[in-house]
Amino acid sequence: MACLPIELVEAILSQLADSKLDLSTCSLVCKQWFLKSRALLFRSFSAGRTPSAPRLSDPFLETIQHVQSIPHLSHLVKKIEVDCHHVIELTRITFHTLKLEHLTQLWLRRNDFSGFDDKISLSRALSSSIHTLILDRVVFKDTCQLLHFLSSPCFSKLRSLSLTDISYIRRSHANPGPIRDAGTIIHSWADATSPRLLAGPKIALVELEIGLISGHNIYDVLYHPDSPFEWNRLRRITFVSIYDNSLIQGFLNGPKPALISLEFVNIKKTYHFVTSGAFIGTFENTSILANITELLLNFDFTDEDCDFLEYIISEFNDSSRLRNVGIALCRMDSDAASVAKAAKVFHKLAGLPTIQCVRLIAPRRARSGWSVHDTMLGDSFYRFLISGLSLKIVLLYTDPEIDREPFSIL
Amino acid sequence: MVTLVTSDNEKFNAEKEVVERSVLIKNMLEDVGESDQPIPLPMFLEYCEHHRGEPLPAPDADTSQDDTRKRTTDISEWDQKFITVDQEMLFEIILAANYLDIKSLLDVGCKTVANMIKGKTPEEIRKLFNIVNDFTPRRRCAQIKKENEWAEDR
Repeated sequence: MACLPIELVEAILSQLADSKLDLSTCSLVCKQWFLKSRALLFRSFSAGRTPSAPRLSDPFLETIQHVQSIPHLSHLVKKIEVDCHHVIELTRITFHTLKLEHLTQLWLRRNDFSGFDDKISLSRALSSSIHTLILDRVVFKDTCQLLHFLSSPCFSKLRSLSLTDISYIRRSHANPGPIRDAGTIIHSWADATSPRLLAGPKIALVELEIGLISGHNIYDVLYHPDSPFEWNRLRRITFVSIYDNSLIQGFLNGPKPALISLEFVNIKKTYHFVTSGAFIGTFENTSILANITELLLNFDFTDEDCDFLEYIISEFNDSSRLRNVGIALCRMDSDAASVAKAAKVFHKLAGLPTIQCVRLIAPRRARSGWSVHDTMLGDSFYRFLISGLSLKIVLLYTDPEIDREPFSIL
Repeated sequence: MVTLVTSDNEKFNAEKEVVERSVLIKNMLEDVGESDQPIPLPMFLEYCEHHRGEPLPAPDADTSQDDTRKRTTDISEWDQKFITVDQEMLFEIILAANYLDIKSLLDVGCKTVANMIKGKTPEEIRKLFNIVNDFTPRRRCAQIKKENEWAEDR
């Protein structure tokens, strides 16, 4: 081990980032291992993902509070993942407990901000370096409150934003309320925001991840010229588990000069790819079509979709930049005619001059309900599908994504 | 075709597509252009040949070791067999992969060492890798251990 430079020792220890007990052990091995192991050990705090009854005297918050009160440990805490079980008071206590100064990632699950002020703003830590914010199953009063939250000074350096399963109490079934247009929401937000904040630089996102969001005008609000965001640097959009066509199309609308990567992940639906917002949103926007280099279609891609993939291929001409395509094959039929058709289309795709790699993504394990015979058939089907095809076509087996980490790349 | 020369002067030919898995060699080939000049480098062809055609990490991919993202220490069956070597050779592979800038091979090497570390005590790790305990005084370890407990199950 003495022959390895410190950066390689650190690369080895980084492989243990998810194994805190081993990191704790490594920090006790020698002085050289101590710093990196401790940095990794205290880097990320998570309340865990197993359901548990919410308690206001949460041991997780006590731990965070203790660690953040010790100067030589406080600066090591970079990522915090909290789950407030949709309890307003727990959300409130959490935000009075957390110190945001040294954080780079904040992951909020099941927080309920509906009991907070309309103009909720997390301005306590102006020097925060949070670059990634993940909001999952979070409740706000309305879109305007969400906008106030996102434009909090501590998020001014945000580069990656994930909004999945966002709901508003003022748009519930029991109390639908009026849908305000984007301009009205933006003006209402601007009227209640300090002139200094409005005059400051806008949040320039590089990655955006979108899941279900109630209220169909969210994209109009975020894309509004007077919103706190600017979109010229956006390189990647990922849609996760959305079956709402208008939401996908809305987020794909408009010019996105820097957008090079587009992903559709776990899009569960009752229709197939071509009738989805992904297809229309992507292939009717010439700005997207001309610029994207990566396209991941992790749909329930069926053999019917192959016909339309041919159409997509014809839309990519010599001036397109598409390099990498990923296609999930979970529901492809395995009869000879379907395989032959799919093989032909994938070969055509790989034949595009700019294409470097076509990844065909197959489930590693049998899906529930499949018999052993189906599994074997499936395996031989996939192997047959890529046999004799272009070297640019690669078959990858992956585990079904049960609990996907935001901004992870397949 | 590209001519590779090992450190003990053995020459052999390989396809450009295969050796370009190494970013270092890819850059060297671009610099050398169409010249017939042989490029000296350690043996790594078997690995690159097996992984031929697999997507390379994007050149602009964030390599700053974002430690908060999920990672796995799983290694594919073939890679596992490839990397089943003695400790000295394992560290040589890691050094070579780092020098040649072959990220996937570097990952396999680092994961293998990480798997060797898992579940061991500090003393067992020191013994395995011949590391000297340079903590002084010993009570420093006790303090570290106590502080670590705050993070261990989070």
